[in-house]
Amino acid sequence: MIVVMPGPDKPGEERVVVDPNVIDPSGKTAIDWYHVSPDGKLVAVSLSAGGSETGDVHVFETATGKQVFEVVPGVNAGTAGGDLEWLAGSNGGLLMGAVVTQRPDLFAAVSSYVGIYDMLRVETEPNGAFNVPEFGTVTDPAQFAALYAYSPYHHVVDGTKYPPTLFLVGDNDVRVASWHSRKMVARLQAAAGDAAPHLLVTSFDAGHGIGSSVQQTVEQNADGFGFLLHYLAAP
Amino acid sequence: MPVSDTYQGTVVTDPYRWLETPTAESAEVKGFIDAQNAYARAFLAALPERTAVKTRLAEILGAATVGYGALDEVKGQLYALKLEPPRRSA
Repeated sequence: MIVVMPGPDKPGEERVVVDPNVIDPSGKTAIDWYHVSPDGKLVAVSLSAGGSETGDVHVFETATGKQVFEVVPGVNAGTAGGDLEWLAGSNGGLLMGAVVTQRPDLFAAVSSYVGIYDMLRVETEPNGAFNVPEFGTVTDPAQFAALYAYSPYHHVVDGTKYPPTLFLVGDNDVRVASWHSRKMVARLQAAAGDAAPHLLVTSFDAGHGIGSSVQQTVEQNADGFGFLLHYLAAP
Repeated sequence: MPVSDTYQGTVVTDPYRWLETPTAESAEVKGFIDAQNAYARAFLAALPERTAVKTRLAEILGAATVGYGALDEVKGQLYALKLEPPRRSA
């Protein structure tokens, strides 16, 4: 159930806003996730039954626990029609690159931090040998075939419409070489399937993100989230 | 200056191998990064959404809430990484 309270030291003042056990006494309906509106007046809740991860999104008033608006049925992690946005990093950047090159139509915009994109060359970088047990190596025929099949850099097709993309790297990154993002953005810019911008921001005084100052974190995330919000606001 | 490699009998062309050169060793790579930074900064600076996000992030991350992390205890003495905004680093 979702509860509210004035502070962690005041559990006695706890109040229930949404209780799935009341909505479905059988106990088979569960909360997948919830999100509070910026003004705190509303709570969006995804409710799903029987272990399904496809939930129906209900909106409740925080003050009264009353359901408002219509239910949005059948929402899950996937989407269609190019309204999905993705903020990814590192290995998540690799996953993003693989998915965007396979289904560029799904996305409105992508921000990707310190990602891996060239799976044929990743083992040649200073930290690369340590990735071989996880990703595989081009010296093995079957593993080469697997790597080549999804390596994002090798699946950018000239003339394809890719979503607006922002790559962010630190030049001092010792975990994932910053050249992955350089090569990927150059390839996307050359593919030139439309006017969508493909941007690369390189910080000379940053690495993989560990040890970044508060000010750097603010600037970098202002870039990453600001870019996504721009396309969310004006698709 | 594309480079071609043969992996397991398959020829793969890499059009941007030159971008793998570390920044400190290549004026061309440094030039590429500088040009990309200028293009990206001009684009991002014009986004009103970026300004709004930056303002809110600075409020959240700059909040004067002291945080203690990476707690350790050795021989009765407690150790911690202390984050004390607005000081910049932990």
